Amino acid sequence: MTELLRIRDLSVVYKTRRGTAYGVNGVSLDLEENKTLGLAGESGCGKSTLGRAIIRLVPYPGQIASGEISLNIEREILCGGGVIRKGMTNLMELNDEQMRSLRGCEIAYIFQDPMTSLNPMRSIGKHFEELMRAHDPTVKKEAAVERAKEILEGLGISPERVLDYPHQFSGGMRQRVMIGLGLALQPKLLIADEPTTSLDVIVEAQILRQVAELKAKFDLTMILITHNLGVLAQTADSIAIMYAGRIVEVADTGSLFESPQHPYTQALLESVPDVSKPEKRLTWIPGAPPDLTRPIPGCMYNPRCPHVMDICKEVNPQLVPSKTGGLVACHLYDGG
Amino acid sequence: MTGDKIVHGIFFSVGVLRNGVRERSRKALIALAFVMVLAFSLIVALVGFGLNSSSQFGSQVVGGTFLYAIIMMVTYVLQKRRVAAGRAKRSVGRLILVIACVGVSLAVVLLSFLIMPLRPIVLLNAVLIGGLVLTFVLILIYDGHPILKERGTAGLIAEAGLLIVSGIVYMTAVSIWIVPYDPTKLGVGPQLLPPSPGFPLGTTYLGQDLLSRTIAGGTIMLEVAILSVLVCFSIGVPLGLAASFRGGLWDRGVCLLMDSIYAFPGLVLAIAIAAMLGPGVVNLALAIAFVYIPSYFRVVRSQVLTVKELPYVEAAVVMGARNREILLRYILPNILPSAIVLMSINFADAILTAAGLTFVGLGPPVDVPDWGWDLTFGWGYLISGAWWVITYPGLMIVLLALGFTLAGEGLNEVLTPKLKE
Amino acid sequence: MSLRSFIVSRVLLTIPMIFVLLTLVFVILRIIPGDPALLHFERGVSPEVLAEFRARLGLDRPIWEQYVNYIAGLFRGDFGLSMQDYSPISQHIAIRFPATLELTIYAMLFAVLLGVFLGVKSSKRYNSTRDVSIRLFGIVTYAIPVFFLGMLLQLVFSVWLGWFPSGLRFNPRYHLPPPVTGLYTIDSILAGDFYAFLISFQYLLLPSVTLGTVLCGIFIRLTRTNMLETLRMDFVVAGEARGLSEGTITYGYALKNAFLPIMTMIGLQFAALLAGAVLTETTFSWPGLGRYLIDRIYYRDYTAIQGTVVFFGILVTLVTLVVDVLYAIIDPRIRL
Repeated sequence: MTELLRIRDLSVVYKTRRGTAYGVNGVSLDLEENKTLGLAGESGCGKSTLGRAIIRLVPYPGQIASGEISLNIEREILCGGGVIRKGMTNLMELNDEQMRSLRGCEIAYIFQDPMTSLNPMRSIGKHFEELMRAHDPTVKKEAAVERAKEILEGLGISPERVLDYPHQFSGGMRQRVMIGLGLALQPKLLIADEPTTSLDVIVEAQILRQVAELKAKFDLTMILITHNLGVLAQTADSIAIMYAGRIVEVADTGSLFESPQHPYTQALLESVPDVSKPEKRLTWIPGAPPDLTRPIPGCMYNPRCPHVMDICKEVNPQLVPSKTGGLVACHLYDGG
Repeated sequence: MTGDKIVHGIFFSVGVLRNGVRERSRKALIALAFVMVLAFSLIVALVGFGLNSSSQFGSQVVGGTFLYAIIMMVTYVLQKRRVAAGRAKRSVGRLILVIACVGVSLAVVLLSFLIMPLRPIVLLNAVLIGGLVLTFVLILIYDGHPILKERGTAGLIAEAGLLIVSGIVYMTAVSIWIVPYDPTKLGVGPQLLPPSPGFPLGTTYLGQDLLSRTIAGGTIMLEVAILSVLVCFSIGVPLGLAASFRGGLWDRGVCLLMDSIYAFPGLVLAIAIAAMLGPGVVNLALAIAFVYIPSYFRVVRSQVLTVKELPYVEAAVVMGARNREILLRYILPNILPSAIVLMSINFADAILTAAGLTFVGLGPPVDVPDWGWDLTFGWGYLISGAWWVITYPGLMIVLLALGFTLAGEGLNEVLTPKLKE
Repeated sequence: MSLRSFIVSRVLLTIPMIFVLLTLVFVILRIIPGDPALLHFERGVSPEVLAEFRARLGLDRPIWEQYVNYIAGLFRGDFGLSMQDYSPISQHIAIRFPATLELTIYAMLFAVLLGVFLGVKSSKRYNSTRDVSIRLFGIVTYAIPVFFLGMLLQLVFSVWLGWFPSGLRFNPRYHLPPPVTGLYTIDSILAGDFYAFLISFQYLLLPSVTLGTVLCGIFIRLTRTNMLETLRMDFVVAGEARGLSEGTITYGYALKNAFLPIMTMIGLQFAALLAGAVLTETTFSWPGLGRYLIDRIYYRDYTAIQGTVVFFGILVTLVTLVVDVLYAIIDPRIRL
């Protein structure tokens, strides 16, 4: 298995009037080809920021403070007179124009809300045309529309709707269009940021199945960002749990659900309702996520952790291999 | 208003939302400071030049205004301390303030009759208005600044605008006493003399001293603006309230009329009315007022229609409150901020319209000093390259309108905060 | 509501408005002053002359008859007779309107182009030095009396530099292009006379820049606010994530979506444009309608003033109507 994405020590800061907030704090991640990585955590834990940082589009006023994001690029990409060569490339070293030509071409990003993610003034076909021409100015309009029809048909949308405007589509169809747009140029990496959160359950299932099929068809590697652990259980190969801008645990999907190591992961799984076990009492995590502008010393989870020790309030735990084969950042496992 | 923190102001209190992080940018402040420095260096230079070369009473009058303002300010600060310490009620403090104001003003009236029995009104006008404006400036800086600062850049913009306007009003108020020459007197110097030591801003083609005319030239314009805005406000707001609250056919009719007035290019209608009414300050003000009534009407009407639907107003209706009560207690306080903002912007419009009317020959009588007339007459001599004749009066109009615009801009965000996210 | 019924209802709403507008002018200019004939002859005039004067202008009829004649006349395009030489006012309007039209078109063009350009520049770097200076410029242009700006430009460019003429519409020593539209720039192009085009453009430039600058502030602000709002929207970020170029995002996405309010504003600013044109024409001796109105005031020609004012009012109302209809046609969300 070859490595597709390597993130080292990535930090994203938001500079606000109240101080500097670490949206993502020293995150390192590796992603192998053809795998699906689930990124889960509470709202505001930095999972979306991490996703956006990979395509270097952190929302204002955030900025990437430090770190390395390397992507294994499989084909040469022409852009603005230059060429991005094949092989492992640190995205942080690319200029804006090179980065632009990577987006949509090598890395696709799907947003949470399909209702607002399409330009209301452009027809669907025009979206495809723009996308293709942005990455290859020689593409003819007719060819682009033909390709758009083909893709739409593959997604179960009738091709003649290519001239319709976004407001004429339902939410699920719009999200399919978004997926189609994402995959039109056959990228290697697909980042889906809560792609089904705003859809109803039936549509959600359809979309997820479709994504899974497409993933197999196009040899995609995927990062699926969601707060819904149930979705990840079905789709992800491995899961990374984030808390307050840090990754606290990474493990295979099976072992994560069977024997969660980090106290936060355990609590998170406890708080998910399980239909098969109606006798199980729902629990919640006491306290609230920390204020990112006022970092506390030690482990960010220590005020809410049931197993808190003295060291937790002083030293920030590093990711260490856990006994289930994953990684975990907790002082409970440091000594072992 | 549900604020985390209440800041007590002069006559009203403002709740400050702590979590509503206000935009505050250093660069905007630098730009603002730039405008302020420009405006005030001009105003101070004009007043300074005037004081330097004026013959009599200039510095005494200016000193008098400062004395007035300082007495008022000391009273204000003292009563505020007492109120803050809890030793006096807020209403008592206000009463003290009013008494002090009346007392000092009476003293000024008496003194001016004693010192200058021939022209007491002119003297006391200058000292009273000048003193009040200075008091306003001091209170604005001392007390208004903390409030406005809470609102970030927008509050400071409002403050800057109000300060510029106050500066010009002050200059105009004391102008009679600080001008070196009678602004309307012909031939005090050579014709079209460029700025020179004797005449710091040069002379007009009639040999009038341009410095004197620039210092005094705001009088008519300010009078017209104030009068027209007052007329406009006192017709437009009640009309808007009544029409929108009543609704029905009445509302439709008034709306139609207002829309028709609104359809005209404002200046064209003002020109037509001014041409009909003939020259004069009041006529000028009426012509301008007529044109701007619809803007008040529209703003008030849309506000009332929104507020009327709010749950707490409906609750009051359900509880059987009378119409008058609802209008005065619930709706009026809600629309006042927008009306005040509109007034401020309306001032700028009125000044520009007044200047425009003057320019096409429908202004005040020619024998008063007026920036509009200076511009108009100076325009005829532009071809000889006499830049000073138009530059200074024009700059003063721009500053005055800019002051009101800034005040309106800032107040718009301060008084009618839109909830961001 | 379908487009057709929208247009019909909008037109039906305009009719009573024009009617009220006409009545308003009649009340202000005919009824309130009492006897315009007496006002016209400031000094004493013999009763015979006065009687003949009234008879020729129809001022001797009862007031309601005058009113009916006035309204009926307007339907035939008859704006009444001038008090000065009994010539039909509609003729004067026809001669002078093209000059005003030419001035306002170029001024609006300048205002919109400059305003939108600066607004876009301003919004792209939020709170930068450029943004702040552009905003300051916008506020200052609002506070400048248009004739003062005109004088300053005359002083600099005509008196000191001598680059542009300080007044009039065309060089009297050169022959005019054959009149087709009455707009000299267009007529000269139609006639293929490039030199005439240059001359007319030279004469047109200072007045239209003056008028345009005063109006551009509102477009700067409007563009900036709308762009800032649109640039934050999901579909813009989604477009960036697909690797569309910065130009496509700024102009094709954000600006196109911000353009509807700008278009509405063009219509709303038409009244302000005409008001400014009156002063600009006076400053630059531009032989248009505004200049005509001012001339008539000097002659106390009240019928002509009335005719011109009515014309201005109707013009603005009709332009507003057209803009509203265009708005409905352009926005695909209304066009369902």
